[in-house]
Amino acid sequence: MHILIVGAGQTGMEVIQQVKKNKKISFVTADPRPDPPAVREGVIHKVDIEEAITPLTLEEIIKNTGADMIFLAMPAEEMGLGNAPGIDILADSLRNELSIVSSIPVIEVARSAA
Amino acid sequence: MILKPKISGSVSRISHFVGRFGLVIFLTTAVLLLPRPEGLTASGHHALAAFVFTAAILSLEPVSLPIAALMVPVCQVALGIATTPQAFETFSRPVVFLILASLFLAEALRKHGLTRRLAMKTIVLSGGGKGAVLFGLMGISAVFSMWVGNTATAAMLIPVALTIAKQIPEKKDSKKMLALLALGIAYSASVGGMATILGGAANAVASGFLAELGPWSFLDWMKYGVPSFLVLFPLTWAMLYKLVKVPVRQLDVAPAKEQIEKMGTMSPKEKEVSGVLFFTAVLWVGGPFAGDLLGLPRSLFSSAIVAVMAVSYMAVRRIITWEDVKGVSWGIFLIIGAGLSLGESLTRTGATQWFSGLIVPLVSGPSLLVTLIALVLVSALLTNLLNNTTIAAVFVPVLISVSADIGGLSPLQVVLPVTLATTFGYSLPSASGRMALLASTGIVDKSSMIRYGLIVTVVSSLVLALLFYGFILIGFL
Repeated sequence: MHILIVGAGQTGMEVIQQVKKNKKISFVTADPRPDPPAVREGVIHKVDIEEAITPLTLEEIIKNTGADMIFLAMPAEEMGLGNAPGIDILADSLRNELSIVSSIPVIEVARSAA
Repeated sequence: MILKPKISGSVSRISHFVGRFGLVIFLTTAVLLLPRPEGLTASGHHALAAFVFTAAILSLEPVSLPIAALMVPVCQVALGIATTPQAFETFSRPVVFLILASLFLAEALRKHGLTRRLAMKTIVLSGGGKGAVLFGLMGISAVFSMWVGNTATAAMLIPVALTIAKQIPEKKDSKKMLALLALGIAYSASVGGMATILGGAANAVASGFLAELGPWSFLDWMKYGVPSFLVLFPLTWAMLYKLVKVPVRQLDVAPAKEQIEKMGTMSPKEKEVSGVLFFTAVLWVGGPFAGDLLGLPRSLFSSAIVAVMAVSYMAVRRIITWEDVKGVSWGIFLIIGAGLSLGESLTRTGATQWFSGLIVPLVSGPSLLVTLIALVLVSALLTNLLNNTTIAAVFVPVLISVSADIGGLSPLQVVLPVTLATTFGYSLPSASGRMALLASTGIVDKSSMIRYGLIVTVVSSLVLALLFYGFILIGFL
């Protein structure tokens, strides 16, 4: 099983630590931030895909990584998009859109870190 | 890159806060230290400082907007222009709960995917023509924005625009198409918001003041809001279509058809949400008549109570839960309360009357049409710099006072066009929640936002002023 973990923040870091328990599961990470917490705290050496995952980029990333499943582990506050009103609704709707349009299973790990 | 995160270090965050908050305090203090203008009482002078504080803190945002709004009553009490109960009284007005409940209804739409289903259906129905897809998506955005929060509606539809733009293989064209659709969603969410009191915080604030003058219902607003929407919606669509050049004429609707098939038939919950929304809208429009018909108190069918009843019903039926509504942008509740509180203080201290004295000579000289155009343009351009709730909070009581001082001018004739013009916040990220979303996601760059925004703002303002002039000429207003 090869998993794409979207988000290397606090939530993503917890997912990575859990996935690492099973050596049969391989994974790649995606986070557009230059120095996300999972890298800073040494849980992973680097982020594999430094790009935001949107419906525009999703299929290409699935193809390039060969992922069998996606874990969306990036709540709104970890997306780094600021605090514009409605950004949380946008983030929720975006995750929902990714789940619907993806050709492989998408598991939403956390809607919000709160 | 779309959705590129913003980087800000802790040091820059601190200097950002100190710098911006310092500027707010500096501006407020500067107004207090200036000699008191002639004709203004001492408390009116302090209210003027409170106005500058409110305008500055809501525009510069040294802290999140809702927290900034909470500082407004603190400032008023500190300046001695309101007692604590006076400063907070406006936060419990019915209109505040009406807007809050509309956000909860938006959450029900998001949770059950109704907005997305309708958007996909619209794309299929449009046949894939670029203009028709844009018109359809803008239509969905506008219609929902009339009944639930306009920023929430735009936030729900922008990811759908990403999926639609994906159909274009050429990346450059795809990005242009995304910008066109996202601008369409954002602009139409604003224009749709003109139609009802629920459409925006400025509408709510204006209605709060108009309700103090006499009976003012949901339907009264729609009487002028709906025609304004009907004129401005196709105009906005046409302008965007012409301005944003996308070298694509036709989109493939097969993926949208596939999406609808994947979603299956409407779930019972989706049907129930649609039914509740429809019934709520009917009661918002015809509530008072229903009250008379059923022999029940009219206030039971007031718009705020109807909205809260709809939310209660959905909670009882477990369509939405407390967990769902905990995540909505509750901050709007504080922003409207602060706006109303500032307006009340300006009126109470006589600052409104003083402002009115300054404006009357300017607006009583020229013809009514010139006055309307000037007021609407000022309001529309200011809304790009200042929070539109602040504009409504200051302008509405002043215009009510101006209309009383000028014979033959009714408050509605100036209050409504000026409030509706605060919708035209299209040019800067600070102009509205919708523009902030487009800027923070990187879908539209700042220079394009300014270029398209200014053109649409100026043309829309002129048309709105002409429309209201026409209303006055035919005796409709």
